[in-house]
Order: sequence, then C-alpha cells, then structure tokens
Amino acid sequence: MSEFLQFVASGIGQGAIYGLVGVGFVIVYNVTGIINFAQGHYLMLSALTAVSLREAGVPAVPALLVAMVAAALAGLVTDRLVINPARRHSTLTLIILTVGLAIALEGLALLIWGVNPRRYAPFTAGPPLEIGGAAVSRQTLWVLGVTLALALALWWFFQRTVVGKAMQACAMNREAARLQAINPAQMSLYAFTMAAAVAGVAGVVLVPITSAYYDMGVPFGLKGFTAAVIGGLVSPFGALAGGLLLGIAEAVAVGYVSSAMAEGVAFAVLALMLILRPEGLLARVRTRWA
Amino acid sequence: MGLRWWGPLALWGGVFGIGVLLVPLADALPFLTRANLVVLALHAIAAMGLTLVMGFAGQVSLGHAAFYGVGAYTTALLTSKAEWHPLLAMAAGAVMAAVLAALLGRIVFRLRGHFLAMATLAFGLVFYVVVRSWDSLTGGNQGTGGIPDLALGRLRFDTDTSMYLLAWGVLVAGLIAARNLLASRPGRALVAMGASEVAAASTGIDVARTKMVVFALGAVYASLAGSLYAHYVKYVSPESFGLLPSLRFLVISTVGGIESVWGAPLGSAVVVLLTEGMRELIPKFVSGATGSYEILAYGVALVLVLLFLPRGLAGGIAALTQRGAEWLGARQRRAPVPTLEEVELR
Amino acid sequence: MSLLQVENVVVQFGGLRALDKVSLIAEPGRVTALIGPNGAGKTTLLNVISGLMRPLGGRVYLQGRDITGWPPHRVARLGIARTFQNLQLFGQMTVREHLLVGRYRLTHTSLLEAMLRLPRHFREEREARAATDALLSRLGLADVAEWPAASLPYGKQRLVELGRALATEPVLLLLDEPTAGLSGAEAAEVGQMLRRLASDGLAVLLVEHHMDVVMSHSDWVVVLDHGVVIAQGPPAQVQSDPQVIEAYLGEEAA
Repeated sequence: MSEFLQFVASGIGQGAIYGLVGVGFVIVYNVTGIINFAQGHYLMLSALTAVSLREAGVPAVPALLVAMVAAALAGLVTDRLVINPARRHSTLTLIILTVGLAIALEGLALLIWGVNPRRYAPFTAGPPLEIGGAAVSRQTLWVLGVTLALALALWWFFQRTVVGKAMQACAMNREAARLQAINPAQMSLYAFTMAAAVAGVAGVVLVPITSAYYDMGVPFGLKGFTAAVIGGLVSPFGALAGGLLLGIAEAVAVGYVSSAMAEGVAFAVLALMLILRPEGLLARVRTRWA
Repeated sequence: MGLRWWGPLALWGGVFGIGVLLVPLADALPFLTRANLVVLALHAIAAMGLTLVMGFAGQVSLGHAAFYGVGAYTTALLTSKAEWHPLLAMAAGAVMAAVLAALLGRIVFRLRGHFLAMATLAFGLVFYVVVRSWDSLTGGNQGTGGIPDLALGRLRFDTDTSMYLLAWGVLVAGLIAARNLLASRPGRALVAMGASEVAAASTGIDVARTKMVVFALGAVYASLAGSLYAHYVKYVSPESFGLLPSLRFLVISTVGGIESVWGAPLGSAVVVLLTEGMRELIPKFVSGATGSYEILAYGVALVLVLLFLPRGLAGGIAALTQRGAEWLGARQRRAPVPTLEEVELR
Repeated sequence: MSLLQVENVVVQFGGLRALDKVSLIAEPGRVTALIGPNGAGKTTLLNVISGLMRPLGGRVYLQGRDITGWPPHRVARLGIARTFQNLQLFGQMTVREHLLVGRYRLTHTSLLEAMLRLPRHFREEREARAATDALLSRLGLADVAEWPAASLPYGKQRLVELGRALATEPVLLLLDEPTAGLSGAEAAEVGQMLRRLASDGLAVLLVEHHMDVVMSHSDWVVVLDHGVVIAQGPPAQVQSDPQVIEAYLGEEAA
C-alpha cells in the first residue's frame, strides 16, 4: 500500500503539470474550436527562458515572471499572426498550421538552447518530506501549491469576471455570443494568451523536477491533451483531474513495468480515450452517434 | 486527354526523363549528391501516400512514418534474418502496413479534424515506443542491420544511381496509379468522402470502409518506400520512423501541394534542396552556426505555405499555367472558384 | 404494401421529443410534401429515413423491408436518395463528377481495377458517361458539365445536388427544402420537375416551405408540428384544416 502511495507521490507532480497544460487546451478549444498543437511548446519556452535568465544571474522571482510573460506573449503572437489570418480556412489547414508553429518553436529552441537539458535548483532546498509513508519532494509540493492557486484563480476568473463569463458564453454558443456584442476575435486572443500563460507557469515550476530541454513540447503537449480529453474537454477542472489521474497512472507503469513503456502509457491512454470515449471520463452527457 | 495511348506515354516518359536529368544536375550542384536524390525519391513515394490520405480523402495522419518504418523493418528482418527474397519481403511489408493502417482507420473512423490528428499522432508515437522497446525483435534503440542489396536476377541495385533510378521508377508507377485512381469510381468516392461524408454516404459510399482503405493505401506507398530505404542504407533504427520523419512527410506534402499528386515529388525536391542547401550555405554566412536549421525551417515553411500559398507549389504552378493559358487565349476563362468554407457536420 | 412506410417513429434529443410517434407512407408516382413550422422535426424525419439518425422507437420499411437504424450507405444502396437543406456539394468537383459519384451504387470497379486500368473500369466509365450525359441534358446542366460545381450560381448548385441524387437511379427521392433560396419562378420550375419525376415512377418525399409548390405540385401533404403529425391529406384539404392554420399563425405564409 505504501508502495502505491509512493507512486502517487511521484506521479502527482507530473500529473499536475499535465493538467495545467490540459487546461490550456480546454480554454482554447472551448472558445475557438481549435486544438493548438503548440500548447506544450509554450511550457517549453518558459522553462528554457527561465533557465537562461537564472544562468545569467537574474534573481529567481523576476526570472520566473519574465519567463511566464514570455510564454503568454508567444500565445498572443500565435493568435495574431497564425490563427487570426487563417480564421476562415479549413480545419485541416488550421491543424497543420499549429503543427507547423510547434515545429518552428522547437526548431528555434534547438538553435537557441541546443540539445542539452538544463535546470535550476528547486525553489526551497531540503530533503523530501514524509507524508503518510511516502516521500514527497519539496518541488512537487510547490507544483501542487501553484496548481491549486491557479485553479482558484481560474475559477474566480471564469465565474466572477465579465471577460471570463464572456469566454464561457463563447464556449457555449458562439453565434449567440456574437449577438451579445462579444467579439470572437478578441475572445480568441484572450484564450490563446491565457492558455499559453498557464503553460508558462507550469514550465517554470517543472524545471527543477524534469529539467528543461528543447523537445519537451511534444510529450508534455500530448500528455496535456490526454489530460484534457480525460476530463472531457469541457472544463479546465476536468483537465486538472485528468492530469492527476494520468500522472499517477504513469508513475504506476514506471514502477511496475519499465520506464521505457511509461512513455507509451500516456499515448496508449490517449488513443484509447479518443477511440472509446471521446467525450471524456468525466463528462456527463454521452453523445449519440447515428 | 484527347490523345490516345501515346499522350500518356509521352507524359510519363517525360517525367521519368526529368528524373534521369536530375542526376547530372546533382553532380553539377555543389551541395547536392546522388545520395540526396535517393532520399528525395523515397520521400516522394511515401509522401504521395500521405497526399492521398490527407489531400484527397480529407483525413489527417501525423503518424505516417510508422508505415515507412513497417516496410523498412519488415524488409530488414525478413531479408537479413530469414533470407527472404527482397521482393517477397517488400510485399510482406506492404501487407503488414496495409493491415495495420486498416486497423487504425477502422478504429478512428469516428474521429474528425483535430481529434483524428491527435489520434494518428499518438498512434505513430506508440509505434515508435514499441519498436524501441521490443529489443528481441527489432534490436531496440540499436536497430538492426545486415540488410543485403536489392538484387532482382542479374540486376543489383547497389549504387546511389541505380537505387535512385529504381526509386524514381517506383515513384512514376505510383504517380500513374494515383492518377488512375482519382479518375475512377473508387477514386471519386474517396474524394467525395473527403469533401462531405454525409453526402458521400447518401450515394451509397461506405465511409468507414473507405477510410480504412485509403489509410491502407497510403500506408502501402510508405511501406514500399521504407523497404527500398532499408536496402539502401542497409541498417534501420527507430530514429528514422518517429515524430520528426512523420512531420517531414507532412511538410513535403503540404509544401508541394496537398491537393495534387504532383505535390509529393515537388515538395520532396524542395525540401531536400532546401535542407541540403541550408546545411551547406548557412555556416558560410553565419559564423559558428551548426546548420541544424532543419526543424525550424520545416515549421516556418509549413506556416508560410499555408498562410500564403495554401495549395502548395503544385497549386501555385497550376494557377500560373491557368493564367498563362488564358492570357494566350488557349483556354476559355473559367469562373473563379471560391474556397468553400468547410461545413462541419456533427 | 407501400414503397415507404414510416411507423410511429420516435426521436429524442436529451429532453426534447423531436418526433413523437410519426407515421407516414410514400408511393411511387406520388409527390408527398412534408410541411410544418420551423423546428417541427421535418429534417429529423428525413434523417431517420435516410439512416443519418437512429430513432428511439418506431420502424421504417422500404418495399416491405425493415431498414430502421440502417447506416446511410446501406439505405442509399437500396435506392433511397436525398438532397440536403444546406447543400452538401463536393469541394472542387465538376458537375459531371458529382453525377458520376451518384452512380456509385450501380457500378463495381474496385480499387485495384481502377489503379491498374483493367477492362471493367473502361466499360463502366463508358456507361457512366452515357448515363450522365443524358441526365445532364435533362436537367439543363449540359453546358456547365465541366465547371466546378462550387462556381455555379446557387440555383444551378441545387440542380447539381438533385442530379447527384437522381444519378443513383433511386426508387425514393427525399428532398430537403429544394426550393430554399430560389426565386418564385425557379421554385415553380423545380415543382414541375418533381411532377415529371413522379410521373416517371419515382416516389418523392419533400420537405418544403414554398406553399405554392406544395399546393400546385404535390399529391399528398403531411403536416408536422412539434414532432407530431397534426394533419394529412390532399393539398386543398390540408390548406383549410383549422389545426394547420393555427400551427402557422404568426408564421408568414411563403
């Protein structure tokens, strides 16, 4: 039992990260109907930017903040330069566009930062903490704390602010939202920027655990998407829950099978989810196919 | 075409001739080698399969390199370990790829757009992980080698040039087959399905089965190319069949023009030329640069082409020749074709 | 035994009952019009008949055969063809190509035969050409046969979609608002065409809002409101039915 708890402890940090990336997918998808294949790459950008700034001697807090802003900016630029001009194009085009963007970001990262992974120290030094018989690293606690704080902030944003409610309205019915003078292009901009910002936050807290490397965009993006799909792609909180589940499942696979296969776990889960239950584990309404 | 049999013969003879002419061209250009030409032809064959799946049948496949890998590994294992005849091994590879792809198509037939893209991406990655992990069969990360030359009777394809001409020949055959397909009953069904599944079904087309078939067809193209690749490099490892190769095929198809069979060879030529050109020229202009601009260039190319030249090079050339023909008075002015906003049902 | 028999079909979307025990029949040589206020469930009924939607309850019979819940392509292969409310054309295909696709269920050339250009391909292409030539002339589309359908004016596009449906040589033709967006004169032409098709032996079931077309060119009218058949009969009778009039109150007569 304590072994299982240990798996939970190891996997829950990664899971929270997947969840945060997944939140970004959900926000963008709900507001625009687009799956942004570059979502994981914003995480990669903020992680590497933070590392570079720390290496250059910039103190922790400003470095992390700048990195997060950089990610948000990347999201903004994505919307303005890539998505908006292609608004009227076919789904196929939009898909390949975000794939192209993801590839470009990865290529750029390779050129700027090279192949070697880099990291900086955990936010607080010290040995892992004993919780219920399992060792939980301090950085994992940071990750969980930040995730919780973000979750609360998102809840407040969507439930209590005008913009947040407008974005929800877009998600529910774009035409009606437009009639209410809600501008879909503007909502799209907010959505992309927010999604990238959330990924950016995930990136900076993740570095001490897994380090930052130029091609981390794809695995984190895919797993974030899996988390979002588990949650049904309807709610950011579903994505968070899905991420936690996925992180734990991965840790269990690593522990009981092998680490090589663990990579495949997430992908297999995604494939299965898409095939069997595209509306997610946590969604309530099951769609009827003819 | 109004011309009888010698019209198409001239066309395809000409296309093959262009392939032959590329050899002295490669020799003339400092950064292009005959080895590059082999890669060009092989990638074009595989990308043509992707064009059929994406451009004509309207599906998405971000895991296409997996089928390239199936062909390569099947050929590698059967010819080196079981001493099968290369052609038999190639056929076996094609069958395996077709079966795998049909399975994929059958499983994901309900998915559309982004979800289909993600599913095929996941599929490609699962394949990659499995190949890497299954040490006993595939040699894992190390790969497997000892693949003999491709020999058919007296002919041995053991030089760059001979391999290239063979590959180019296969490419031409593939082009002919694809064009034949598109101007026929099953080909029209494919295109119809790509345009509107609902309307296609209403004319009796079994959409689920057609998806299966087109995925299988695309996989066969990739697998044949992969088999040739195995005979060429004599050694296969998982790296050649992962995400980046899949994305490379995507770039080739898209840049070349996804709505045309000519897109694959055109795109392949452009991508190979650009990659080799960059590798050669960039370090000369930017000191200290390693020339590993490949990935960035792919991404930028993809985005730029889609934003400014959505029908790719083939589409652009077609539009130019159309204008030219009209200007010369050769063809009647056609009404402008508006781009249909895609109607997404369900 | 009627050609088409719909019996007590029920369709439910979440809490909404879109079709509530709807029954109707269609016969060859007759034009049956399905009318009703917006949202009455007319397109839903066509979707059930053509296999795009599976009903919660009830049965659909074609020539005595139970086809309830059959997938659309199987229904089509039995001889039911349809057009769509919001035009479903095929991208950049030419007009002729649309009609050629329509011949799918009548031909058999396989993938291999096509790619290798075996004899069956040539034979079927020849026959298909001849058949589509005839249909193109009949519909007045011969002069635009090689044009991309997407580049034609709206009225002609509707004809193309009708042509595609007719190319399947159906026994039952389902039309979803074939005159939507057409002028009065164009609509009348469509109406006459439907009459001609019916007199050739086709069973026509159409969803229609153009009351002139309904009254002048249909033999039988079924009125649907909120998923329920509230009246049916010859046009004149339905026109003066008080329930029908009430259902349309507030709706501008077309």
